[in-house]
Amino acid sequence: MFKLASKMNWNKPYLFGLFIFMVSFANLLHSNSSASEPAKIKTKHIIVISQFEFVPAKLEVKQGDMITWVNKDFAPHNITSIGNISVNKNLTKLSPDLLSENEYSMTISESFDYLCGLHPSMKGQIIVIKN
Amino acid sequence: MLTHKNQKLSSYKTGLANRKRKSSITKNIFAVGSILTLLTGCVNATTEKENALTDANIAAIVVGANNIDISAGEIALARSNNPEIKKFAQTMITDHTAVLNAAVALVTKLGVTPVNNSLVATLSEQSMQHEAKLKTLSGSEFDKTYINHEVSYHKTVIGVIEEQLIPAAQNQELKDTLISVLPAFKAHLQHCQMIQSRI
Repeated sequence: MFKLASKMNWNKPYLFGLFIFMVSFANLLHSNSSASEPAKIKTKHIIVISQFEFVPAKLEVKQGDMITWVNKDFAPHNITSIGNISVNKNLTKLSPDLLSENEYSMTISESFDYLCGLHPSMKGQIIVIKN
Repeated sequence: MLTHKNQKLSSYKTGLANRKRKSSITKNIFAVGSILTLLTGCVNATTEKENALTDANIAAIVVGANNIDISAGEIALARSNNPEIKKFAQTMITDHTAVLNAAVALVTKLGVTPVNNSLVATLSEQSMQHEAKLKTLSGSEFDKTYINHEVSYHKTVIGVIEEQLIPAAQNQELKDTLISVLPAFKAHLQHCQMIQSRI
């Protein structure tokens, strides 16, 4: 773009107008492509697993945010989704069993309830709020 | 006729007197019983004071209690065909081994040698009886016996930790460890109660 600009004959006003048009059009294309790209990580959240609880147990995030679960207990835990609150209740193991001090991260695209598959009394909830 | 009536009256009076005497004896027995109960209570209180749990006793109870549940879990893994029971048993083995390792590491660090007491002996004896019973059972009968015992065992251990071990622990680090393992026992209790309601 800059090479093209330096080779141009700026004495011809219509060429200058054409150049401005091309720059504006390129900017427009760029902004449109950003909108269609998948959501990028916006904010990082941490959920601590401690004393056999997810802390915080309920977390509101925006679509594309990243959550990291950190296991601070002596016992292993995992993150098992119980599905979208209103759609289904199928158990899906999202993380491997996390030993003490291990962690697991994922980018959030939708709301879901979850539990620890090893200790089902431990429950948590991720709620995606509108941007 | 009159003599006969007098005899009957006399017999009735004797019966009434006997009944009164029996009632009095019964009252006395109750009174003595109550006194004995009170005395036993006093003696027990004194014995408990004299035999207050030491950190060494607490270490022995923690080690013993975890070993008992690990052992029961191993039997369940070997004998049950129910995936939910097997998964729970494996969790018990994993978690109680972790608690056991933490407890052993702590008492080693503190230089405490576990010393058995009557509570450990009672728990061990009950555990041996339970394991002997489990080894004679199979199928759903095994699963129900195992999980029912897990519920009652976890309730007992939670009570012992909360009411006896935590208040008695002298070393702060030992006390903190006991407090930190309680949520695990409570989560296990809720888990086995969930399974108990389904099988």
